Amino acid sequence: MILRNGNLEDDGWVRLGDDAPVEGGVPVIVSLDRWRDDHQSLALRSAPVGVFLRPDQPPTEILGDLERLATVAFEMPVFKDGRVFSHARLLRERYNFRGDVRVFGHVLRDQYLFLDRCGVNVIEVDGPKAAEDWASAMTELSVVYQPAADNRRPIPSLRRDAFDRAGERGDNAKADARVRLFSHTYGHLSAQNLLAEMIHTEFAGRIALVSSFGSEAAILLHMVAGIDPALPVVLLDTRKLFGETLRYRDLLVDRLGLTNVRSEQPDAAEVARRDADGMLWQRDGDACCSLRKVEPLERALSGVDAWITGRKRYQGARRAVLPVIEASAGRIKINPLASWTRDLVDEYFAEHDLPRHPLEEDGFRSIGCMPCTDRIAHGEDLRAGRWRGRSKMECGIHETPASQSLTSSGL
Amino acid sequence: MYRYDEFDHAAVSQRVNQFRGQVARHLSGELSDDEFRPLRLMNGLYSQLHAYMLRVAIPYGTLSSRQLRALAGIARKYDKGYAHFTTRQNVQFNWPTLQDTPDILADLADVEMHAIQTSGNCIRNVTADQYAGVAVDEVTDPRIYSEILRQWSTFHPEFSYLPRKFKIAVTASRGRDRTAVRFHDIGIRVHRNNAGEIGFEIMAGGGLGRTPVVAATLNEFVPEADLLSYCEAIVRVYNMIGRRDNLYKSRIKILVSALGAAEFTRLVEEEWAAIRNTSLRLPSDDVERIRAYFAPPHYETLANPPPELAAQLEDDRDFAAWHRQNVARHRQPGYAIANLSLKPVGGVPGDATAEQMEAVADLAERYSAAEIRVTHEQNLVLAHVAQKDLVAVWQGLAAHGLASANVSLISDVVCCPGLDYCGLATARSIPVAQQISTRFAELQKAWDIGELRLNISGCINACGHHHAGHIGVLGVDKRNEEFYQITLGGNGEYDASIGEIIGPGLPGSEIVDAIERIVEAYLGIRESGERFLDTVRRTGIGPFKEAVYDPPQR
Repeated sequence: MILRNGNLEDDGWVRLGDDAPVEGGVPVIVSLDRWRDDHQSLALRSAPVGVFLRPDQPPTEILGDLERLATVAFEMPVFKDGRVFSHARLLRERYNFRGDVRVFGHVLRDQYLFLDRCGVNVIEVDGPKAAEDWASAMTELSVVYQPAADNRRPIPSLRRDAFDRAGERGDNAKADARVRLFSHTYGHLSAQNLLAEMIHTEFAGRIALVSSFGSEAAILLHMVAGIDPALPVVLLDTRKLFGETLRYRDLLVDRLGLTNVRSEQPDAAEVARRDADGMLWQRDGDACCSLRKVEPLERALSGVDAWITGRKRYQGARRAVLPVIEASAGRIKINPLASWTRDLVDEYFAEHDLPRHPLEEDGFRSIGCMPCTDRIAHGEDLRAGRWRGRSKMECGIHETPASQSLTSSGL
Repeated sequence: MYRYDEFDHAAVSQRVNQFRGQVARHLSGELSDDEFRPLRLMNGLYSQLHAYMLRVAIPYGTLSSRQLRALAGIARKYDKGYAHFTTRQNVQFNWPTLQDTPDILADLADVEMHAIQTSGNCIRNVTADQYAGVAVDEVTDPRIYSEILRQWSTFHPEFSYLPRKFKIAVTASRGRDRTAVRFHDIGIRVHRNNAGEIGFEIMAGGGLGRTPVVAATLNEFVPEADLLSYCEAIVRVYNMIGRRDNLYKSRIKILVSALGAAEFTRLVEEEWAAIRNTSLRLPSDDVERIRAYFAPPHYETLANPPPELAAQLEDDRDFAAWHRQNVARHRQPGYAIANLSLKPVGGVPGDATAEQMEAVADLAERYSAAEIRVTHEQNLVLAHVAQKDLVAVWQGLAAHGLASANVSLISDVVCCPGLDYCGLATARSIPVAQQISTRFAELQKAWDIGELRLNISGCINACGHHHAGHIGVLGVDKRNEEFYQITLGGNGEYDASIGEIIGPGLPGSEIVDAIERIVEAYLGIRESGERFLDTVRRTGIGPFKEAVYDPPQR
């Protein structure tokens, strides 16, 4: 008797010994040797023919014959010999054999499931209990982790579906998990080593430095020049910058050998439309920042997955909890100097003999656009001179995105 | 750490029920011993000298406090109150009954653990660096890939009746390898190429046992997306043409050696080409989802080192000794990795009582993100201890006999259960380990000797990894008497080497003296900065052979 896909049937096939006579009209399964000797006469008969292979005979032995065979059978002399599992899969998955794949010999019911998964559809069995065994074997393990010759969907594929359904939630979780991972992997590195890892490995070709060319900008520019002078460096030239800042930019580019500094300007047509008289900064500071900084930055960062900023925790209350690595609107933002102190900044300038921004000796400590930047008095918050007299503290390019929730798996 | 989702839960609980049925069929006589054997082995159940032994997987060596407590509970309820941590990040119970086993597996399933494929001719528990996620020298967390491989290999329909057992280890260390990666059937080293992409150096055909072989590198850089297809190609080639006629020649190492690494690689890569672009391909989103499970715990911003540490070290010499030897650097400033030695002087290497396991679970909960690691040197690790808490952790450990300050020293002996438990053993190994740790109990002396890996196996199967020990001891049976053969110069790290036999075996009564003479010879001839292994590599075994077999007259 046989189980065909679990159904008990009388076996209509005869497995022939190598010397046994062939009866007309009966489907027969012969050894590989006999097939090689007799395939012409066997193929001429009207009844279907099969070949059985021993464990040391891989299906490649009969590749040219598959079209003429209705059955390929595998002998299992001992159940522990697992070659049949590979052979059956190859027959099904690589050689696209669509006939019966049969096993006979010492087969345990505990192997039915894996045989089924590997593409075996006919099992020679002793008695009717086998059908029951087959049915329970098929349900014993209902989940599978890996693809095989069957059409059970593997768990990874089911998970992908579940994750896709989770949709937006999944994206947030992913970004946040990435940040945690990066923080964990790189958060302990010094600024220089962190930059090198980010620029050369983690985000190679997909990372830029955004620099104000302001009072402390020379530090990151100097570090980056040592790692990759061709790294894209973006200056948001709002058309309202101090002339000193632009001259300082040229000085640093020249001194440090930076070869890829881009000055991103606001879109001229938009400026004409939204700020024809150039006084938007006075009427609506946020609108002005949006036009001249936030929107140009987005353009400058297209095609970039991560960007580097020079922000530091000591620069003001709003930056006191600044992380070294954070997620920002779909990108990763890296703040290598987040934990630096004023002393470290001064030391670095001295040690590397870097030129100071010309406005610094004039009392400016945080330098943005001309109309909205003021000197600060001794003891004031370093950014107190920005948008003085207004509640505005940041231009908008560093707004913290709404806090993101995270579940560990997304499922 | 990894948490089961509904699919994993289903898989493990279905497996428990399946095994319950198989046990019942065996007890009723329906399944013969021979037929039941591979089924119970694939569920971790061995038949040993005195009783069954159940081996439980600790995937990539990471346990939660809850899981460790569950192991303690099993030791109490079904065993004699203790368990044994092995050389492959597994834990063994030595006295369960067959009838109880399905219940034990059900208890394990409740805490997301299992004994699936911890034995048998299938892909075994996939191991990883015990410092994963906290090591200062790692490229990325290797457990991500171990977990992906764990899932892929679990109930693999094609690879459950391989010619022989199959072991995989994953390391991502840029510095020292802590997984013995070159002594595995497949060894995987995670690294990055020049473009910064993650990929794997894939090694195959390593192993210990009666024919120790250092794995050959098949491919220097297999891209991340191809991890599963490459491994499937290797195991498929092995399954189809690995030898099955001789138990001792059926590991993949024999196949790789027989074909030569180049020819074996050619066969693998030919197979790989055919399956590379199938659904085995690993989308990066899948990797990221697994990665998220291994996100680090919340770390506080702490002083590194805490200001009080210097005084604490000054005040207590025992704490200072433990700190010096057992505490390793952590990637997070202000934190440390604390190694817990399961090698007390005169103790059984790798054994822990239920009380000790519970104490460690409590300490981990309080001080180390409720997480414990298990090492292939049979020790435990608390991987996230704030340095300011080290004193408290040490006190907690000392109260339970877990503060031996000897990690990686000569008394940190790696040792199989040997003839005290194992049906395959030809000699006892535990008593030898006990004598060695007693002989070298004096810490000052052990420090003078420095890093020295000593491994003992009770038979040629080498579960104690003696070939990979700087000093290896192999127990053999000669006319019903236990003899011990010494090898020198073995090493399990990236620069793996196999120990060289120094001469005829010695009776049990002489082995510890011989080891002491070897150590004294080393202390005499070492050059500055040389570890024992370095000296053996420089001088060869000659001076040590002389010290053992032809010592100068005193």
